[in-house]
Formats: sequence, C-alpha cells, structure tokens
Amino acid sequence: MLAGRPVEAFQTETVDQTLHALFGDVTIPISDKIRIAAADLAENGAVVPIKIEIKLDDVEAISIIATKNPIPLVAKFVLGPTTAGFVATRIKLAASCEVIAVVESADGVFQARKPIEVTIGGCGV
Amino acid sequence: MWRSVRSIRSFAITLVLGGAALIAHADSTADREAFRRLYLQRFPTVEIDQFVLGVYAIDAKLREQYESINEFPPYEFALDEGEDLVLKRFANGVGLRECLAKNDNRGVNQYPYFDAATGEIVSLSVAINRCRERNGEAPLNYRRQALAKTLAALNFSARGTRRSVTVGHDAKAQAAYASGKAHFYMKRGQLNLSCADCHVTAAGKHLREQTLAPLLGAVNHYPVYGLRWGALGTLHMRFVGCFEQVRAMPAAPQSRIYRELEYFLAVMSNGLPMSGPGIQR
Amino acid sequence: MSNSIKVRTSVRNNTVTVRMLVRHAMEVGGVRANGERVAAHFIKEITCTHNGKTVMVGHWGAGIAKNPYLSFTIRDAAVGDELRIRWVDNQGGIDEFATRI
Repeated sequence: MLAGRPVEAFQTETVDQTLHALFGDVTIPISDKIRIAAADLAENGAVVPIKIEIKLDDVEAISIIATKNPIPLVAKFVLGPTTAGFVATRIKLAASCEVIAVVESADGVFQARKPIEVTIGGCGV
Repeated sequence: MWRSVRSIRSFAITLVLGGAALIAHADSTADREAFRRLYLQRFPTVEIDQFVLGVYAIDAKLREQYESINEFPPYEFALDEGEDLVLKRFANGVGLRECLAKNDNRGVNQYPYFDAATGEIVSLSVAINRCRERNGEAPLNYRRQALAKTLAALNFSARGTRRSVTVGHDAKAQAAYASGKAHFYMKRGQLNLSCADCHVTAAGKHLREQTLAPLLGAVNHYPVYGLRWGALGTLHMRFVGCFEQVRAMPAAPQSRIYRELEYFLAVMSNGLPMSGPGIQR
Repeated sequence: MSNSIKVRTSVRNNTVTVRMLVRHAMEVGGVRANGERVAAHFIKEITCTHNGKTVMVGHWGAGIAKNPYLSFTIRDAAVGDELRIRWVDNQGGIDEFATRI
C-alpha cells in the first residue's frame, strides 16, 4: 500500500518546515549514491529538466525540494517494489536555489543537494 | 537576328535590365554565401545544418537542456491539434492542403514566395488565410494558437525537406528582397539596434543573461513552443516581440515589413533543413 | 484528442522505461500583473499501475512544470504488459490512459 499525499508538507513555506513535515526531527545524511542530474544554469526557470539517479537499494520514495520556491516541496514520488531508483521530470524554479532530493530506502533516509542557477531572461518575449 | 533600330535599343535595354536583374539575383545568392561564411567562421565547430537550432547550435550547455526536453517535446499536444485542424475540411468540403496545392503545388519549404500577380510576399500564414477566405471561412487570427498549431502541423510534415526559397528574376521580387534585407540591417527603436547588431555582430554573446542566437537557418524551426509561454509562438510574433524589446513601434503580424523580413531570412536559410515546430526557452 | 496523456515505453531485458507527457496547465495561481486573479490548477496525484499493481504514485504540487513530463523504470516487465496512468487535479479534474508496453 503506497503512502498518501503529504498534505502538510505541500503547505509549508520554508525548507526546514518542509523537511520536518515530511520526516520529523531527523538529521538526513548526504549520500553520494544519489545523483541529481540537471543543468548548473537553467535556461528557463519555468521548465527545468531534472533526473534523480539512485544507487541505494530498495528505494521507496523520492522527494524533490526547491529551496527558494514559495512552496519548497515540488513532488514526492512513491515507488513500488519493482520500480527502480530513478525518476525524471521537469520542475519550476522560482529563483536560483539548491534543489534537494531526499530518498527513502531500505537503508534509511538520505539526501543530495545541487545548486541550480536560473536566469530571468530579459530579452525573451 | 537584327531588326529595326528600335528593336535593337529595346533589346539593349532588355539586356541591361536583364543584366541588372542577373546582378541583383546574384546579390541574394552572394548575400547568402556571405551570411553562411560569417557564421561558419564565427562558430567553426558547428556543422551547417545544426544552425536551424538557433542558440542550441552554438552553446553546449543550452543544447543539453534542449535535448532533454526534446526527448518528449512539450509541443506534441499542440501538434496533434494542428494536424486535426489541417485535416478538418471547410464547410464547403474543401480541405486546406488541396487549396494550398493551388499555389503551384508549393511545398511548405517553398514559403514565403513572391507573388508576381499581387506584387506581395506570400507567407504560409497568409496563404492559409487566403484559402480559408476563398472557401467561405473566417481568417485565423495571426496572434492566436489555432494558426500557430496549423503552422506547426504543416511544418512538421515538411521535415525531411530543405528550405527552397530563392529570389527570382522579377524586378519586384528583387525589390522585396532588398527591402527585407534593408530592414534586417536597419537600426530602430529607442535602443537603436538592428536585427544584425544582436544576431549577427553579437551572435553568441550574452545580453541580459541570455545568449544571442545566430540567425542562419533560424526561421526553419518556427513555429516554436516557448517554454516561457507554455504555448506556440510564430515567427511574426517573435518579430513583434523583438521590436518591442528595442523599444520600436511593432508592426502587426503579417504586415509587409515582417513578410519581407521573413523572405530575407528564408533566402538566407535556403538549403537548410526544415525543422519546425521547434522548442525555445 | 481529449486525452491528456501520452506514453512511450522502451524495453531492455526485463526492464521497461516509461516516459510520459501530460497535458495540464499546472497553474500556480495568484494574481497576475494586470490584476487578474488566477486559480491554482495543478495535478495533485498521478498513479501508474503495471498489470494492475501500483508501481508509481506522484504526489505533486504546482512546482511541477506545465505540460508535465515524467519518466521512471520498472523491473520484471515485458512487452504486452498493461500500463495504466491516472491523474487527479486540485479542481477535481481527472484523466486516465491505458496502454500495452
């Protein structure tokens, strides 16, 4: 049975509040087994392609948090047992920020962070 | 075969005019060769066909993001709707393609063209609306999605062909080409910038945190799905936007100045692959 | 076409990569520059099943880009298996699409 919507976490407005709503009062270690593949400098904050590639065993959930978005929680993907530790999507970034991927796996909860710069784009119409 | 003096004079005049037309014709060909050389020299690692991708041809990091999005292009829904629009017959039973075929069976890659009968540059958008009006339908608004979707579908079906637009011997066609070229190089607006200032002289450089796109072949990937709009945009809407950006009074889409600019750019892009609809930020 | 879901799959050994594009405004909502009030309108949940078993649930906010893209990979899958995608948005809108790998 896959978990339901983390309603509170989609209402919190700071990263700390979001992480707390999702995981409670725990320290989440950084893992080099989580790779956030995205451009260092996103061409357009409205559509930022991002891939999360995970080498941990038995990934159960992947949360994507954009630290400067008005609602930092962008998405939480809950995976079935036959689903590999990978997700790709396109997100909105309100401003240059760190994007955090938090992975829940059989081995515990881990995170990775990647700074992404967003240009505002003054010439586009 | 010698005839009267009058005939010789008119023959001579014809030769001079013909010669002038040949020279003017050679101008557009020479212009295109020069245009190509300029960009190929400025960006020596870029293979010429790639230039249809605009800024994505010259910037590797932007290209990576473009390729990521192009894996599943966001314009696909709009493209499907465009195909439905192209297939939908007018109330009188005539279809758009069969009507367009009456323009000397021109392929999408052969637009825009100079229409000797009216002395006007006919773009594909204008041709679509002429078809609609001739068959009792209301014309499509040049700023709205129905036309952009129709263009997307027609251009998509032209992939695999190459732009085939050249300036004929007709003196008026020459004049229209010259006018489009002049507009391209003319400074305008409060910022006093020409198309060439940004997109030729400064192509590849940064302005307001963006990389300025080279224009060789750029018309070939229109209409574009703009990520910033979440919708399609046409070439003429881009012209309108550009004019606004240099603080010049924009003309209306499909006005003469923009059709002439399109003609000039299409001639410059002759021989390059048709690649619409495209993706842009 | 009223269907808002396009799915493509590619199979390698027993693994299937699913890629999809969904047509949805994913509108954040708020007040536009011209004063116009826009309601938030975004997919809240997207569920994918493989032969009836849930393999992926996406809990989304408006921070997912317009016309959302999603890709994931399923093990122990084969050509002919059924994939079903269903989404629900915050205004009660839904759509569903079924296909075979």
